Amino acid sequence: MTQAQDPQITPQTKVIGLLAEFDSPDALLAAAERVRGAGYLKTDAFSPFPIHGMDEAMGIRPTGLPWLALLVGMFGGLAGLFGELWANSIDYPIMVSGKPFFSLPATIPVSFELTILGAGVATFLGMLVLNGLPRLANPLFRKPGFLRATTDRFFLMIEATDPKFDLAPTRSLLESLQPLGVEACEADTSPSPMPKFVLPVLVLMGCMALIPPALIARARVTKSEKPRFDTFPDMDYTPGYKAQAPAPTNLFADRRASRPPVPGTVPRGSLQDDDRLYRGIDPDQQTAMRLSSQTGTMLTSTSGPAEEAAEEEEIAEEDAPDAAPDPTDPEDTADAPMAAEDDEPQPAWVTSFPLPVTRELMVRGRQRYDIYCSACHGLGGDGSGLVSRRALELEQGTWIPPLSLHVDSVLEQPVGQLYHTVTHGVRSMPGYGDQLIVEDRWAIVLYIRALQRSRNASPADVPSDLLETLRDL
Amino acid sequence: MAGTLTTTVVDNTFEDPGNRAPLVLGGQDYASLTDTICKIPERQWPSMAWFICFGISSSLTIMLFGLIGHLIFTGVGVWGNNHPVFWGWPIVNFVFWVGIGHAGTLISAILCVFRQQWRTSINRFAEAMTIFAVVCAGIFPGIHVGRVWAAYWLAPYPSTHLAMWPNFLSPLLWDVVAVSTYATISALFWYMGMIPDLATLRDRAKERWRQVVYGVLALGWTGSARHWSRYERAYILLAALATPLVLSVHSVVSFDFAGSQLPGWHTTIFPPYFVAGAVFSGFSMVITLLVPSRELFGLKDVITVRHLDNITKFILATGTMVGYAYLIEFFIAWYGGNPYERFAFINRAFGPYAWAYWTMIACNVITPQLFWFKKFRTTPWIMFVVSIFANIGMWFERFVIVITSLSRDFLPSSWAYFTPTWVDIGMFVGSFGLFFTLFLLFIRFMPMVAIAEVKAVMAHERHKSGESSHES
Repeated sequence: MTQAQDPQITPQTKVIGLLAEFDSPDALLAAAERVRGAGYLKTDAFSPFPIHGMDEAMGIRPTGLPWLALLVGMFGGLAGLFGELWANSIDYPIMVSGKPFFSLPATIPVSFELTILGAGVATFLGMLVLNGLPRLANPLFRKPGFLRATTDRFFLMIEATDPKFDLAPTRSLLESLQPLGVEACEADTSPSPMPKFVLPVLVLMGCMALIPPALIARARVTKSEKPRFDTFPDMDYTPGYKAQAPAPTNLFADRRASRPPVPGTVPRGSLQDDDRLYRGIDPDQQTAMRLSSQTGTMLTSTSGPAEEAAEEEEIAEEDAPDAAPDPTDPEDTADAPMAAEDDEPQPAWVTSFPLPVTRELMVRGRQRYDIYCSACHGLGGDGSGLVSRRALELEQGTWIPPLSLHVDSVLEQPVGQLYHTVTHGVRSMPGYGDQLIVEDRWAIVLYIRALQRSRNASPADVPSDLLETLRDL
Repeated sequence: MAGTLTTTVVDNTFEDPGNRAPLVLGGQDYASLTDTICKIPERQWPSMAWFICFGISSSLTIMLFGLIGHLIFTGVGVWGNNHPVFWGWPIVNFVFWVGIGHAGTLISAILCVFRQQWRTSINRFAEAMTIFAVVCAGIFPGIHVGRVWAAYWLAPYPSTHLAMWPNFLSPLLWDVVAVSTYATISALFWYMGMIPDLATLRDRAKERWRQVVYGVLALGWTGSARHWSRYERAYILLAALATPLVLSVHSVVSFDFAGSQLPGWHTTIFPPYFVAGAVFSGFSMVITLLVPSRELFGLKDVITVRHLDNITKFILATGTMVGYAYLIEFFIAWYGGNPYERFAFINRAFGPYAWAYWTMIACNVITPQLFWFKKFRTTPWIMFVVSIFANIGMWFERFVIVITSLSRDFLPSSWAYFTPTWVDIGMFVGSFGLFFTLFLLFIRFMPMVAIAEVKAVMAHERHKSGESSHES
């Protein structure tokens, strides 16, 4: 180095190269060719735009960037292909309309996009890395004149590390190229301005960045007793409340967990506005009775559609025969030992069937009776069902035998009351309203009527053409 | 430098084989060109017009995000989407914006591969427009999923929560991958193209904050010939990669429709038809933005009438392709003999949405035919008006495709007429606000013309004409 010969250079600074300035791309191109012809290899040219032919003039070899793009692009495409294969065919096969789990054409779009993505990102990052960018501090930026390299000036630099570099001869070579000027470029000797805290902070941040992946990795290989933490629980855990239990006030203002029906509405199928059919009560007579009872002393045992409210009462009360015209009937008291004196009024039971009496209904009633009633009441209605016989054999003393259906108190009951008994039960007999639909209950009542008739029939009840065969028995 | 600007009108729209028309007019040299473009972001305060535009567009942007908040906290019922039209305006807007986002990369990539040098004056501008349009587009499917906080389920990640993967057989997932790849590559391409110009801005900067911000963004670019060598190779590689990408994105978007069984959607013509429509709408939006911008910022020497002339030729070509696609759709509906398909198309043209269909035809097919005449191709205000019509028409095209097909599905009892709500309209208008906000910020702070590339074209022209130094 012959620094002392250059007046611009102080001995403390180290020259890293000589910079010649030109005013046109053609001049720069010519200069680059000359410099290369003189045997300099460590040169660089700076221009505001790429100059056609500069690569050849400076002997810049083609970059390996395309190979990088090819490799990473292929990696992206294969990653897409095998990722789809793994995800949809192996790890979690999704059956869609019987299509194959792995269908090559369906993987094309994603694989293609990932090929482009990989190659594109590799091209961009590869260009930066191969160029040594980002490099924010560069001694060239200290030359005020060099700032025009991105506007309208063209520079040629011969670096000091070139074996042929010697300050004076190199300078004279550059000056022979008719530049606008030649300058020496010194190394940056200013103290490193990076604050001391930057490095520890960077290290700390790097370490902290490792914490989440480490926690995720740990969570994937360990088992936990605790329920999963849900960032957004959505509807994974819906609060459920007991129908009659109080609910939080933020659910409904009245703190009821379940909602009463909207006033004036009836649930589907619950209208049941035909009292004769659904309750066995004649509404017209019931109204008449109520009107008369309002003037009299009778209490309100039942009233039309609100009859359900009176049910408890009615079950407790009992089988005082219809309307209790004569409560002193001995048969009655015998049959109803638990009933109170019971001059309680009976509702206006219907006395005729509210639905057409047909042979099909009778057959149905017999079948239902045999299933639901005969176990206690017996197939003939005598109260001698299998359950009852067995219970009496056990002699436990707690069994109350079922009533025979052929006693007067039952015979006298209107069909409405029998229907009510089938529906809600009486004394120790449970109700069958939950198990039998309305029509089947009436069918059983019809069959009971038939059974009763069979014990008290007269020859006139038998069709005349069958009378002869009966006699043969 | 700047004092040498001339305003003489030079007609560079002539076609003279063997005598290339100049692409930069007004006797610009490297320094004056740099000055022309750099002084726009370097201005201390932008003009009053900028502030007014920015005030309007940023207010609309705030409205957009307010409405998105309203949507998230209330639910997708605030939209008009209801059966049978479950893909309402959000998807129409998505396809509309993605389509607009096609011009930028097409200009940068495809025209770069074909060495169309006139692209250099407009590519930066168009790329920025692309990215902002894709941003607007990305919002709509994102919020259309309803439960926005679960949108990450679209990503194929090893989930312990769901213990399953997305269905890669679904075009909707292809769409997610395609649009996000497109957004990434377009942004890379845009940024990489901007590095040399950011370095120019850095070197011209006087204020400290500009030096720091542009310095960091320019990554220490010096204009070294060794860097330029790799940079140019990288640029052409990205262009070559982005070329099929541009064509694939709207093809994949069209698969969202074509992959279904709905009459009016289930057609094989969709991918090319969608791509042609996307290019058409993208170039129209370029004209919409370019004509006022070159007027306002004094860029008439860089973005010359010849550039506009070339763009309008693209609009004419793609608009006619789109018209051809409309025709073929009808032909196949008849020729295919499928009664549902035939009904769908008769319903399109003569049903309750006929007004939308004929608006689309008038704006997309008929209006661009004006560009057969050179008078219209070289008169900026006319092409501005036509481009507005094309934008309207392309929005209606998506409206017609999405709404008419869905509103008449296979079950006549569920047929219904789609009505948007005020939220639908507000979000659409708000998306324009977001687009223009981003665009105004871009022209305020970034170089809106690719200075280095234009200089290279200038150098090429000078070299050809035998000049070796500055003219005039």
